Amino acid sequence: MFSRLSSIVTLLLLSIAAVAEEDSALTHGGLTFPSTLKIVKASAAENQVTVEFDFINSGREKVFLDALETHCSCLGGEILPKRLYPEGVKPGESGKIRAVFDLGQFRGEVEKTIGVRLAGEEKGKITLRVRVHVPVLFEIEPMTLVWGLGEETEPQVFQIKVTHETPINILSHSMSSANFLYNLKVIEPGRRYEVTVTPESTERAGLGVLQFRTDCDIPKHRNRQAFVVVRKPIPKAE
Amino acid sequence: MISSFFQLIWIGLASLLGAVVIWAIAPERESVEVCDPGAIKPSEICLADALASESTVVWVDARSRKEYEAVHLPGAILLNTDPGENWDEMLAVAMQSFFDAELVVIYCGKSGCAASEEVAKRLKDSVLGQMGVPVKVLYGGKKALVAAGKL
Repeated sequence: MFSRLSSIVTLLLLSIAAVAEEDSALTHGGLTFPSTLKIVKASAAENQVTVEFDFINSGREKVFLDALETHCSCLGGEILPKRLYPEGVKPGESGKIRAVFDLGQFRGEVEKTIGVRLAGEEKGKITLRVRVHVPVLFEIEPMTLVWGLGEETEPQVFQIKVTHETPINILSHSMSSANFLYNLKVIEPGRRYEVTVTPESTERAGLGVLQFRTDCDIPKHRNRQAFVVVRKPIPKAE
Repeated sequence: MISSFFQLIWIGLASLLGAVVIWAIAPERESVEVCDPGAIKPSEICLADALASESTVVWVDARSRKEYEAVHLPGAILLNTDPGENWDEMLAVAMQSFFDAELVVIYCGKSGCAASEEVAKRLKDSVLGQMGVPVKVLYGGKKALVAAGKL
């Protein structure tokens, strides 16, 4: 009895801490999750992150888990301890949902969900969220330069900042469209660059892809791209 | 009298057989909730509104490549955040259509499947946001397209 009470108190305290991080505790179908959102700051080189969601059966009846649902092949789920599926979770018993997130080529922030479906027609499911931030080592700002059709062919600038611990040098660069002239300026070698782009004409809509190949030591951060566009203005009434 | 009775039996059996054949071969029509434009999230759009839009609409399929290759809305572009895919390469292809789009509508498997929300966020935060192109998630996703006979 005491151990069940102390588990519930611990979970409640964890839920209060979780709420402070825009997270929220959730009780559904007898299961209480003190946290339904896990925020992970991955390192730039990491390819996989693992997070665990604690739960406890805070109800009076045994709860049966039916399945874990993900909508991305990048996210795998597992119920721990394994005997809880299909044996069920007894009142007061606790467990974990372990989610393994394959980061692949992701950069920046990405969020995926995992659904815990409870057995029984009306039990529904609990949605858990995993939000991962993968640092962008070679930041291009903005990612797209836009000129309106018929506008002046004024130059616009991409600012590039390297946030990696070691410098990242641009080995080569290219533009896919001859309509856009560009000039790369090294502000601080391996750290800061500036690319000025000028369209030769804005009479026709068009797209250019500016590609950079760098010497970044982490393969998935090695190649980057930015876009230049001449297009008609968007109707405001949409 | 007896002959009429047997005729009725035969007609009944033939009708039943026809019903079974239609049930077996007819394309599946999935049930989907009715879309009320006033009740959906601001980031979503009803299929009827997307189809009726006079803007240049570009459709994005945010499901997996396998699902996309099995069936997709004609003209829809594949763009997802699966780890086996190269987002940059897919985006460079998609930009060929995005650069003169006036509205981008994204769908995944069904409402709440999250993949389309994820892709919408990434596009809004980067290229489409900077180009000022509105991005919407299709309410009901693929299920809405199937129910409307578009897939």
